[in-house]
Amino acid sequence: MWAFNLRGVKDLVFLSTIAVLTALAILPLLHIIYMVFSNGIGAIMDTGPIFITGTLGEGGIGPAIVGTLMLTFLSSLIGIPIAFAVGIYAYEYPDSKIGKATTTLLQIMLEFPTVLVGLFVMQVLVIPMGSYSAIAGAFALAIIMMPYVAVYTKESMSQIPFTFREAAFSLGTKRFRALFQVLAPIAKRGILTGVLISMAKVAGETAPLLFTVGGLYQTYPDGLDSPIGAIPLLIYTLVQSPNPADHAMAWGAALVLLVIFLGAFIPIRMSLKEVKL
Amino acid sequence: MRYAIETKDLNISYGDNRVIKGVNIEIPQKAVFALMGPSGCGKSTMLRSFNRILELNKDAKVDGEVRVFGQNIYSQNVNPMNVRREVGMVFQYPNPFPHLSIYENVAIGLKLNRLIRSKDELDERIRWSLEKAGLWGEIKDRLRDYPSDLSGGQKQRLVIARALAMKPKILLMDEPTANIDPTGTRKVEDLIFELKKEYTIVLVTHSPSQAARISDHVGFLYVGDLIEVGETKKIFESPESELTERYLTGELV
Amino acid sequence: MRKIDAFDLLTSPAVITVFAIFIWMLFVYLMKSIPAFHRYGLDLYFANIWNATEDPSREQYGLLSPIFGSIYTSLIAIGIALPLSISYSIFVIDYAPKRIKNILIITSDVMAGLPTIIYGIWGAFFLVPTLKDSFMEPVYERLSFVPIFSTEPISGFSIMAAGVLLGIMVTPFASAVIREAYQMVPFKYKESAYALGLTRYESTKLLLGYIKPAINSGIILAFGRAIGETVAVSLVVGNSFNLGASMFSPGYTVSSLISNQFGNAFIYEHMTSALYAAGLFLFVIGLIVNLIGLYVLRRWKKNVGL
Repeated sequence: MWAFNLRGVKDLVFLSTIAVLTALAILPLLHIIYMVFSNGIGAIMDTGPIFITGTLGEGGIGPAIVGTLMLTFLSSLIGIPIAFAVGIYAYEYPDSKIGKATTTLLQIMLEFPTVLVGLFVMQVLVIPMGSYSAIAGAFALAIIMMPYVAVYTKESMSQIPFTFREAAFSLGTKRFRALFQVLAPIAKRGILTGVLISMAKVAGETAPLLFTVGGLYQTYPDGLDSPIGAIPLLIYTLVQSPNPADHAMAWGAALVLLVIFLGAFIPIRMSLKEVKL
Repeated sequence: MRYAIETKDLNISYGDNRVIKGVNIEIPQKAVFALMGPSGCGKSTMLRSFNRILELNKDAKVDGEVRVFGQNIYSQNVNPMNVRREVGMVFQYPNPFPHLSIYENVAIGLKLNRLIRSKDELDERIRWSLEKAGLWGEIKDRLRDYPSDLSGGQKQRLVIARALAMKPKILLMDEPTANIDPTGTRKVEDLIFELKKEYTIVLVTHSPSQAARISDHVGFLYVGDLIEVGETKKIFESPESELTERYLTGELV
Repeated sequence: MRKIDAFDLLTSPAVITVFAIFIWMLFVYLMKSIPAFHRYGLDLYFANIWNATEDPSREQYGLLSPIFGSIYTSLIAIGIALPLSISYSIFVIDYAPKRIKNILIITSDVMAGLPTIIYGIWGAFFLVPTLKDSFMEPVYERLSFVPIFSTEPISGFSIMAAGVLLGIMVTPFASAVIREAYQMVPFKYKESAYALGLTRYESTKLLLGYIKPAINSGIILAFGRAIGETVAVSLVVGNSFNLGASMFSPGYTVSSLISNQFGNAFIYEHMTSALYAAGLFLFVIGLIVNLIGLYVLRRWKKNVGL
């Protein structure tokens, strides 16, 4: 009788603990969103629309927003085609030595310390060029984006039922046509989702930009080979300043970033039935 | 007279498992040849060696010769792509490409292989294929629609049209009616009956009655061995092997 | 056996590029670290000293403090992530009703992808003061004899703050691995556990044992993620060279050291190389940890026939 009760009690304790810990795992996000909204809204409201369109001198983060958009776009231009090809390769050769090595390399690079990528690009691009630049930042971001796009591509292709593979090849076309012109389009939803998620992720990166883009907030960016700013980088700088006005602006910028990120990430993520990452 | 397909000592294995054991088979032209036997005896595997689509399975190993119109398609200098243009295939699950319209489905093989350049010729060929597949009347106003709206039987006839568009000489059919309702099955079987006047058709079927209905020749495959082969009428009326008889009476499944 | 065709020609350059970039990166870190190794030998990693002066002959760098900080904070992080990610996975798979299940999974994915700077700003302006007031100060008052609580929390920027923040950040990563593994447990095992009359607690414990290597893998990968995190950590860890058991003191991690010091490294003759050596450490550790984590997971999947 007592033993049974003890087991029952343990069960109850167990269940409550699970529930509490699960809540703890999720709670921070809710609080973060709450804080960013409540602090950021105030900062933006106080400044008005200039916050979005103005330069730093005017109290706005316009150049940072443009910078983030430019960097995201550029890095996608560089990274997506390469990553797509790598992903298809990894899909087509899952068992060969190189194929397996490729998959492993992609997994390693998925969570590689991003600051190391930034430092590397600084060494090979920024220093020879003699200045911080948008192109350097774009390269760093492209390197970080590539494994994500490649893995999403590979996984999406793998989900195509084998019978379509047979049908595609039974047409007697060259392999690359069967893969790129018949099969990949079948998987295009999954691949596109992966691409968009990767772009959202890269837009929020800070460390790769630390040593590559320099930061530009007083004026709007004017070229690929000159310095450029980005919202995450601006926030990083502002948080470290001793000036509370800068902190307020940081919260505002964080709100802008959060809205961009959630606005992109949540709908995209919800359109995917299953995410394998 | 050349046979459409001949095999010489064909052996196929998956890893250590031999699924086709030293089969010699002769498939006559412009007729329906049915391959029947209980499930898992290698019929589909053997069928896939006839257009080398078996190679999509990395564990499969093929030894021996497969001659299509006299030429061994497994010899070193033969490109499987060319084989597949001559030998079309229809599958167990009607699989028109879901992301392409009906028109594009039929056209895809032609487009990718650059077989037809002009739009008019293409339209002409599409119409011809769909007519041959007995589908034109039903969908001629819906060419831009997607195949998801079609019934199983219609989808399968679309797949047949897709294969016919390439003007192959041989059509391989892997249990084409296994996943279609009876009405659709009837239509597909009627179509096969029509097509055999111009094409060599190799039909894998798990239903002896289907073989009896529409084939001219039949081969009985059991656990990788070709037990008996011959004209359908003869095999069904007086099978020589006891195994064949047991299969035909439904004892072996 | 197989001939090289147009497909190979089209895709190999991309594959080669990716490998080349990785190898080139490793090469750069190796090359740029050599001067520091040359100068300081193994002391570079094992000594705790950071003497940046204008006189090159007196420059002295040892990375022990940041290395210690990286490991310490990451250990705290996985200490937090372990119970949270396991509980979360169990709850999502076994107990959450369908609608909530999806919300929970998406929330976890959002947390995994959330820009780390947002964690950073929240950490700097909320977590640090809150931890200081509600945990560190009261604990220090009563338990300062315990080594890990033995220094006075002055600002709150500390190893502990970094560890807690990292724990929150890497939990979704561990959760993804564990959740996937727990979901793959064949239903028949769950059935037989309950059929034996085990309580929910007991059968869950049993099933967790079944996926133990996957849990290990998730934790290892979370550790790798934690140790590589830069921005969020550098905003809460305090950025000072400390070496001690107390988690209430500020400290450095390798990544925050790099991000912090690199700006002025060019002034000093030898600092740059030392920082590259720090980067090399991170590179190698990140590589090893990731490989081990992946290996453990793959081997388990193969063993249980998944």
